[in-house]
Amino acid sequence: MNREKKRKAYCIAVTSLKGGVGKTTISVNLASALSTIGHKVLLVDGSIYNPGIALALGIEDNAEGLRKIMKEGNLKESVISDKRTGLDLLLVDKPMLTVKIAKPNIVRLLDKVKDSYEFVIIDVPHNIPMDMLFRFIDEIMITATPDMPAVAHLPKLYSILRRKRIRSGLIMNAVERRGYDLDYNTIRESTGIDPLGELPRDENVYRCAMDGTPVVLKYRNSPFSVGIYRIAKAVERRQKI
Amino acid sequence: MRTPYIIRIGAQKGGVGKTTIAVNLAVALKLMGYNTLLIDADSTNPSIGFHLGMENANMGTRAFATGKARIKDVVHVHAPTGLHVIPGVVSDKPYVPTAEQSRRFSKELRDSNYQFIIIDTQPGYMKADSMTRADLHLIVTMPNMESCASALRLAAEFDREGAKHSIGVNRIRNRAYELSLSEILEGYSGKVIGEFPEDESVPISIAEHIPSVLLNRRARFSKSAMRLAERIAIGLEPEQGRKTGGFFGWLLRLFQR
Ligand SMILES: Nc1ncnc2c1ncn2[C@@H]1O[C@H](COP(=O)(O)OP(=O)(O)OP(=O)(O)O)[C@@H](O)[C@H]1O
Ligand SMILES: Nc1ncnc2c1ncn2[C@@H]1O[C@H](COP(=O)(O)OP(=O)(O)O)[C@@H](O)[C@H]1O
Ligand SMILES: [Mg+2]
Ligand SMILES: [Mg+2]
Repeated sequence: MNREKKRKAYCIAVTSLKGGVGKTTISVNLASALSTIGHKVLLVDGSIYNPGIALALGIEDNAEGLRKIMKEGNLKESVISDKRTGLDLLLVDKPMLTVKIAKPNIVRLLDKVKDSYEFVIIDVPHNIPMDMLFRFIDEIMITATPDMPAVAHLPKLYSILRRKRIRSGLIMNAVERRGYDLDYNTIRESTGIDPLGELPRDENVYRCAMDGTPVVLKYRNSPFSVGIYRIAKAVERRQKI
Repeated sequence: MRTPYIIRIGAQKGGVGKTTIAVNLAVALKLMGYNTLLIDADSTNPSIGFHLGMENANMGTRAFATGKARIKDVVHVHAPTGLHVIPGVVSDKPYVPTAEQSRRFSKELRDSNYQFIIIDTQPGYMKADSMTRADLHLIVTMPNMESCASALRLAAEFDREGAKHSIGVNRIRNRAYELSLSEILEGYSGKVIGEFPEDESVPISIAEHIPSVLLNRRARFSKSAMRLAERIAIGLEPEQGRKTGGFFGWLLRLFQR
């Protein structure tokens, strides 16, 4: 068996401190981009209180995913394959408002999953206790938009991640460089964090949000897609180290 | 309408404009002359401080909600308007007050002599939430599928609890690929009581730490916020002898000082 096959998946959690900054959009598109480059990718909707991936991909059937696992404990039957994107998906069809997340279950689940993929991407909102994931995550991608409410509380999160020695990167999304937006220097000064990459505000993102297709598939050359592919390449390099 | 009339601004979806609307609604009500309290109950990303230029206020909602302080201990006054504000404090873990704490919290709010209490919340929905006993839940959504779908789910939760709710649609740009108001109403049984356009005055006012209704009251977003405040305040005035033009009178006086 070659080394490539034996290697466990590189797990990325896409998260943010503020809602609506683009976690789901980035997760779906980054996963699709990695898949089109030829990787075996599992995309997990960890946004169990307000799931968004099924809608973003226009998938209405068999989206029981995580709920099914909680009920039946069967991973294989809960994962579905999406032909269009080539992704394997672990979805949530409706909010799991009353579910207590059983730690041991998730632990076992993620461990099993790690063997069969090259990348696992999890969309994790700010209101899920993150420490639970720390054991499995190789990298946390933090998403923010260039305004004060979105970046102000980042330093606190970063100090936690540094303490736990978790690799992390900051993605600035929906960047427009309007006069009143925060620029990199201000962000660096006020948070002490170097942004890892940026994605422009792109009208095609809104268009795609309405019809359930990833932007990278529908508008391959749109500025947002170009940015996503750049991040995908960076992620490929980081997986190797 | 009993007072204090408590309005809780919520959404399951993040970044839809809860805080922006909460802040501008509260300031507009205050400018109209109503004794108003604005509470930042977002424990994951409190941001009312940035909107109002009060980011250094540090005693907050958490101390109050968990019974460590009384309202008067944690209220800060927004100097330009006199609006009372309980800012949020960022915390590692979202706090869930105990049932007893919630009861006391609600009671102190109910017994206060504010006319309006506006509570801004974090995205999501929690049953154990201390502040669900509001007179009105204003669910904020953008005119797209993701946020409308979660707004309608939240509305269904409130229906199950018998709580009153209305929708405010924010960031309307009238694009072909947006949901129209009538499309939203097809799936919603309640009322849409606010419609807010996408407006640059919003990010500008956040960057300036001055709410839009104060910084630029002619901006389209400000007008929508004032219209919402008026619509809400109508319920508080007796039919006869209702003040007319009170809001603008107040504003004019304010700007003449
Ligand atoms: N770069 C971009 N350009 C234009 N629109 C964008 C961009 N990124 C995201 N959006 C839009 O912003 C909205 C919010 O994005 P998204 O749902 O991905 O955020 P989220 O962080 O997953 O939100 P939540 O916290 O509610 O789960 C969507 O309507 C999306 O289409
Ligand atoms: N009507 C609007 N026009 C333009 N930008 C808006 C509007 N409403 C909100 N925004 C922008 O969206 C961002 C998120 O709004 P916010 O009120 O913080 O959302 P929430 O409290 O729901 O997370 C803000 O940075 C603000 O600049
Ligand atoms: Mg999401
Ligand atoms: Mg907010």
